[in-house]
Amino acid sequence: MNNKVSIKICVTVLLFGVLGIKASYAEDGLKIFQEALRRDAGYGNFESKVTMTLRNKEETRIRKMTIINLEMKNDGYRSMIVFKSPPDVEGTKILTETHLTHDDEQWIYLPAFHRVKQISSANKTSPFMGSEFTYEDINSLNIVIPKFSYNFIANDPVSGIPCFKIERKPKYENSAYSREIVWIDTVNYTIQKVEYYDLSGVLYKTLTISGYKRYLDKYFRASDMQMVNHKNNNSTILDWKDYDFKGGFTKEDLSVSALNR
Amino acid sequence: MIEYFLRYKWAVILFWVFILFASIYAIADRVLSKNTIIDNSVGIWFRQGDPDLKIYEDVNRDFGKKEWMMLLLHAKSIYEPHFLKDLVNITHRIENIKHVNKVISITNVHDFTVGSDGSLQYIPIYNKKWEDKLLSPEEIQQFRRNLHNNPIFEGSLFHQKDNGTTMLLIQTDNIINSIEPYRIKVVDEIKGIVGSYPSLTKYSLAGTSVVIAELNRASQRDVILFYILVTILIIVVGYFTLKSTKDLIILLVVVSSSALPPMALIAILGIPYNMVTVMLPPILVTLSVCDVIHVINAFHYERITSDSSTAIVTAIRKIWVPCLWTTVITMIGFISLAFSHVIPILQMGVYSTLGIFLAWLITMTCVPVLLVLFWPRSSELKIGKRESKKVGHYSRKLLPFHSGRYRWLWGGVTLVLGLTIFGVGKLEVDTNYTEFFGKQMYISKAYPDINKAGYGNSPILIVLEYPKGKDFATEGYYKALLNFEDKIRKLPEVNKLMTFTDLLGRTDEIFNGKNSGDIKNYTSKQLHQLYFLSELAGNDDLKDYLAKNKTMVKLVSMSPYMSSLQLAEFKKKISSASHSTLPADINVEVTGTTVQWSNMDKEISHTEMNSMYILSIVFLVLLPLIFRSFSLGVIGVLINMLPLAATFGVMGLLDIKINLATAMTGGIAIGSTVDSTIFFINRVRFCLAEKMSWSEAVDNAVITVGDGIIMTSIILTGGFFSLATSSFLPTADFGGLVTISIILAVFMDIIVNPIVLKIVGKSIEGKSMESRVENIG
Repeated sequence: MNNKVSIKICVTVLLFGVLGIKASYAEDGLKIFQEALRRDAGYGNFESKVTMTLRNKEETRIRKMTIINLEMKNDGYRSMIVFKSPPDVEGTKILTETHLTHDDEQWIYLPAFHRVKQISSANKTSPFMGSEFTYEDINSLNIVIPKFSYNFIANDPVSGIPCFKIERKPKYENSAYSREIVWIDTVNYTIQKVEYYDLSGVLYKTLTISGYKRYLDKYFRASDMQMVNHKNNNSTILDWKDYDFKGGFTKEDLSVSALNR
Repeated sequence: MIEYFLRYKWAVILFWVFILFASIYAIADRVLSKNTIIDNSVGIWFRQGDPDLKIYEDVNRDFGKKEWMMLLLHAKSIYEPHFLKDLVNITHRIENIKHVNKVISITNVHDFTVGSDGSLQYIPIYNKKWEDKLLSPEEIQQFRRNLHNNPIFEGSLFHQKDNGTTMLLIQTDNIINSIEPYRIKVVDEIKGIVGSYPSLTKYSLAGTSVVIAELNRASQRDVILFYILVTILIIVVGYFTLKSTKDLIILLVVVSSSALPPMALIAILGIPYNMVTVMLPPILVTLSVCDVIHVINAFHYERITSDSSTAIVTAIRKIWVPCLWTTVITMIGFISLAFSHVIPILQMGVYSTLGIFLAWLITMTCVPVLLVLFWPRSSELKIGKRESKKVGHYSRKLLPFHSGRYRWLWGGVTLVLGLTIFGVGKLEVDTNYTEFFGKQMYISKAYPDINKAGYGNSPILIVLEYPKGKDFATEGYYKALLNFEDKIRKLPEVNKLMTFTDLLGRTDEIFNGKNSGDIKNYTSKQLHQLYFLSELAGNDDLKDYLAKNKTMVKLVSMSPYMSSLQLAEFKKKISSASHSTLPADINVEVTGTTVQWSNMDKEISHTEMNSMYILSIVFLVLLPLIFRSFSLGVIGVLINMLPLAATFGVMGLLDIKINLATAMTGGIAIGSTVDSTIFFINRVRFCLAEKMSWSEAVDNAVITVGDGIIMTSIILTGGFFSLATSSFLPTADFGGLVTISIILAVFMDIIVNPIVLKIVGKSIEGKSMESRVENIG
């Protein structure tokens, strides 16, 4: 065997080796999310009272709402946000259907006009009630496997909690992000932290999730979510409390016709 | 004291060498560092806590630190497929420039529409699928129809009646104290991008960022050019007038030692140069030569009859008083600028004063030492005849012109000069940044071009702040806001008013249908929920106009660029409109970069007035004291005030406005020219004390200090005239005006002053003769 041939073989072996490792990393990332999804499956529905605190250099503002979430068999989730305050938007409801494969759908009910209107799902990137969260951020906390590609990076603890560090890239159109880095706890498979990178690849926001509690002996839900915007240094805290998994909500309760009830 | 310096000459020299090299080190360290040395952004012009600046900063903080550039594109037709494809690319490429936050173009603006599934959509009017292809005629028609269907963009991005132009609004960072030269980079990148598309027939780029970028660029060029010109001038004029390399070296030592330390201090303190302080080096270099030239001349005059050490002691003894007074008055001239609230003018005043003090200090300490070292022997022994001819070489030739019919000629010239004073009444404080550059500069052409095309080129921000507990939607307030906007739109200064009410109205139109109801009469809840819907549907432009939890509303008037006087009128109209339409508890402020610039005008006029008050008082008090004679003091005041008044008169007659640079004309011109008067009258007094007649004393003064006056005036004229080469017109105007003032002052000092003094002297001598005759009688 001459030198050239042996070099070619070495390069080929190396290349396959690298690709193999890459494929395995991608698989690992996907598997971790699949495991997280598997562990959370079957919760049915829940309702929670959420207080949103918006902070900037000047002021702190409070928004209150109730969020109802309904697990849909083989088709993602439905969620309804009912605004309690400020008084001007009290009673406003947003219904979102998050689908596994096709585009999400969203409707709004404005009580001052007694009217329901469907809103284009393409506008995921607008701020949620003037906060640092967007609808995309809120929706992506529900694990919807096919809408991202995954890449396991390393084991990396967050605040002393051992975590998997995984990169995921949105596969859907009109995302505000080029990629997200997600830390998932290695024991309970709960999301601990997410870093959002803008379309030019610069770190844009960081979400830190804490205060997880186990409900129905199985399902973990967080009490605190803090989103920090690194561009304007503003932050928003979502305080989740009074989780109720026994509300018995049905598809009909979270439907368009239910909005103006 | 001079003997003391001569005894410790090496210590004196070492001290100044240390100062010089320490200064060079500090300046080199700053120049070689990454920190920019030029900054002309808005923040540098105002003191911290300035109320106008605070409003500007508050608005920047609440709505984001942003400002707008206007890029007008000309094409054969903006609805031509190749142009539209290029426009898509241009928009994307500009969006990707660092420090560009947003680009609004007809190819990326959004509009509300109802989708095929009935959903409310906020989508680009120019379909994303079209971006990579040439549009078919049908697609162009569709695009055109959709674009014209939305009245929001008419007048700001296009005109339905004009297919040949479209505007791009480019929102950039507005970092008001940044030393990063990002504006120049953004401007250059935009120019580079639009210059590479043949489908554009022409483009015009304007905006405050562009003006600041070009100010920075002009300042960078000027700081180097001025320094080179003034250095060459001093070397050439110094050599030909002093006719000695040794004296030239002394001159350069003084120039360097007085100009470099203030610049080093600026470098150490990290103060960036701006369009005012770039004039500092040439001014310092120019002014620092005055005393030393007189010292050198006096030294050579005394050296004809004495050895060097005695000559310098005698020379200094004779002229230290005028040297001190000229320095004090020049320092007062500059320090009067330090009372300005315009920070660069204040900086100019402080650092110039320091430089002038240093020039005096080195002239009184190091120059005597160097003169004795360089010229150790008496000139009488070796070159006495040649050297003695040197004294009064030029000024001696003026003596015949001080008598006979020439007196009438000069009297007539002085009278004509006096008549220009009538122009003073026409003087105005007014600033128009768009007229600050040469006519051939792209920015000078851009503003008229954008105006001609019917677009606004100057965004004026009208900010409404609602009281606690109220916001834009409070019952009755939205209706009042719409009425206010209607009034503003009707003002001739408004090309287009950009406001969130248009966006909200459009949301209402799509959500509720065109005939849904009158938005003016919507309840607070309806308005809030409509806003919520608009935001939810993806309209992220709303936050550009509403802040602080919707208690602060910003309206953007796209207007033609206005000078500060025009802007003041516009502000009055806005105030009147707000009083007649808005509830009294809404606070209305007009701000923006152009407004801030115009706000400087009141400070500029304060600067000019303060400077003139201080100088007038100093003149009236100090000159009679210096000359120990009321009549000589009055003559001194008149001799100096006439050139200045004539210069102001010329300004008024030529419609040159008082602005940032020209506001300093008074202080600096007086500070520069009074030296000659003091030297001259002081010499006359000295000769009178030596029992010479008035006529002999005046002639002696012409011969002994005349050359010095001519020499320093040539250097001053050349130095300030070098500023006239600036591409920044206020600097050029300032250079030209001070030059005029100096030329007039030298005429007054060595032509008119001797004639006046001889006439006054004759009358005094006549009176004393009469009294003597009476006494004898």
